[in-house]
Amino acid sequence: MMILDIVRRAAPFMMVLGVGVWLWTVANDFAISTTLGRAGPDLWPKIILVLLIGAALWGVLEAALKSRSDDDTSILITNATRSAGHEEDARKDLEGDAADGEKRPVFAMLGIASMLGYVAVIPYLGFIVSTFLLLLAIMTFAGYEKRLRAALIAAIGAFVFFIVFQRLVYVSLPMGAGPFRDLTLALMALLGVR
Amino acid sequence: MDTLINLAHGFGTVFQPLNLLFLFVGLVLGLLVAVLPGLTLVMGVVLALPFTYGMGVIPAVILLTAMYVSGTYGGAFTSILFRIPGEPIDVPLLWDGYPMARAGEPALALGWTLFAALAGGLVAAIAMVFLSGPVAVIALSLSTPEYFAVILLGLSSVVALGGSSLPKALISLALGLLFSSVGTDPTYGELRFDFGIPMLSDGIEYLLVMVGAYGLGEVLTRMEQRSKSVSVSSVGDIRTKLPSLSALMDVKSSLFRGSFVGFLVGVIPGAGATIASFVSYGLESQYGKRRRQLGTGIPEGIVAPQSAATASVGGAMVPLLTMGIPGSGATAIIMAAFMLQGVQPGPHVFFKSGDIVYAVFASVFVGVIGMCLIGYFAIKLLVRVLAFPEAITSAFVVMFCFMGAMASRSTVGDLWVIVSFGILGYLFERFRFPIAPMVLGAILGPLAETSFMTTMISFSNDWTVFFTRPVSGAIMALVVLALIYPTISDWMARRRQARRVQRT
Repeated sequence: MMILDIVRRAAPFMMVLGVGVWLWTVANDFAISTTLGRAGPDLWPKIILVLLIGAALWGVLEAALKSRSDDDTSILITNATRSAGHEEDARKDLEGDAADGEKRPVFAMLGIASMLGYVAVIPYLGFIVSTFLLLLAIMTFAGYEKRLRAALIAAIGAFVFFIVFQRLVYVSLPMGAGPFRDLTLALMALLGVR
Repeated sequence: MDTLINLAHGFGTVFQPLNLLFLFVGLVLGLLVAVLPGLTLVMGVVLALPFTYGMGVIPAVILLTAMYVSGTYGGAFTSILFRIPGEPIDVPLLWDGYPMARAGEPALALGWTLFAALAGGLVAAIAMVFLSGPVAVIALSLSTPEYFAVILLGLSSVVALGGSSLPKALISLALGLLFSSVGTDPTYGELRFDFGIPMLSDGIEYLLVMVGAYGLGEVLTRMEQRSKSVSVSSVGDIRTKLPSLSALMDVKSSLFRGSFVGFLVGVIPGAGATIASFVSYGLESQYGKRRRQLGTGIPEGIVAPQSAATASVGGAMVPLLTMGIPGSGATAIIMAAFMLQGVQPGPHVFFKSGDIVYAVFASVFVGVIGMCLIGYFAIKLLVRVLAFPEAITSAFVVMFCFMGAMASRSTVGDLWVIVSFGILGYLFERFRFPIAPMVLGAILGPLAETSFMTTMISFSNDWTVFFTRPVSGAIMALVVLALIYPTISDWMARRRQARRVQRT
């Protein structure tokens, strides 16, 4: 149980360590590199990588040697609340919602999937349809239970964003393919956009 | 005298109709994001950033500064009335503001908050105006080794003060600096970390790092927590009652202490409004006249944290405008607004484009007064926002983030980048890594690298120059001090606690 706990706490640092070492090998392959007496384009990234790898190693060691996780509150806040006798209150109040309810990572995963899905389908479905689907998905996964109202808000939202992009920010949006392209063109004609 | 004349010109600029409109919009948005569930102050300022692309630099910075100022005040309403802190800044208000409201004086508690925000904000604004000139003169005399040391001090204090896990903060900072090194190297023109992807050869825009990590990351975290909606049925009676003059005189020392501490904490990079508010409350509990009654609902417990929180804004503007060092998430975004308009804040801009700098100064003065007026007259409307469903806010925040990404370069490719940073931001929250060092690293990375490489080339690759020159050596010593301070402070606190336990 204790080993599992250490592994759980050390895992993010191990991952960072792996990324750091891999990036170091990439930096070694830059065409121009640091030689004796001359700083090359790899010097700055390598200094940062030393910092990254060092911090990751420190994190791994800390996870292995310390019995508890660090509290993430700034030391100045900790000192101030300690002197005011509100250390425990502050910790609870700063945690807020995170401390109240249980965490349900599946909804965050669904959120990530919705965002990735949006970027993947936007060239095919076009801006309007993709945005409608994304707004609806995020509202649903964030816990909004009135489905019909959510669909209405998503439809209005997608249309408003379309107008903002076309008439205010002047950004060319993905039009989609096939019938979705026709839909985008029809909306653009409606707004008087060429 | 010149300062006052420049400030008068600044007021003239702020009172131009368009600038005044943006200031008003910024104040309202700042108050709203501080109250709206699912939105934070930094997130709100990030979401407003893409809308500044098409503006001039002055209205853009006025808009964001106004949001920053009023964001330190809006959360007080919900803390005092419903025990729901809009921002971490407002947590100390729960300890005296809420008890005062529960004791039947919610209007007076809101009045104390308004007074503290007004006085703290104005005192700090005056200090900001008069301190900035001398600091900018010093900053102008710095050469590249000293400038690099100053940037390093800014980054290390963000790491040291952001949270107590130093390795996590260092990793966050290093990742930010690494993201800023992607693309073409500024000295040799060599491609770095592009992995053959054409989009990466142009580098990663810090805007995408910011909007993704702060905006999308926060939405994903809130989705995981699935917060409940809040009922604000008792909004009908809410109003603000200003304290009497004699009552104000009784708390003048708390007010000056709070304002001074807030300003000072604001100047230190990494220690923004939240730390100012807590430190001020902590000091009140040690040196306040009625320290033993703190926590029972006395005005000093409201005045100390609120005056410090608002005063920290004036303090944070000093290193940003005089040295180009943003000390917090919000000032990093204001700096980004400057840079998007092709202006690099620092001593040169301070002296050559005084019209911009003094307009920002004036906007802090007008903003503080404006937010109090809006807060006084529109409190019922602002508080009602608390009942707005968080799920709808989240969905629109996501779209605003995507809008920001698409509006910058009009490529769908940037959407992939922003989602990646959103996922990274979520993972950071999940594993309790701070986001601010990464964002500051991404913004200050190019500046740090340029001053480092210029020094290396100018001083024949002698890195000891950073330590042997008196000024840079002294700043480097402060960097070390900043990095070891949390560890030493924590160790001393544990020792004290152990001794106390032994004694009992």
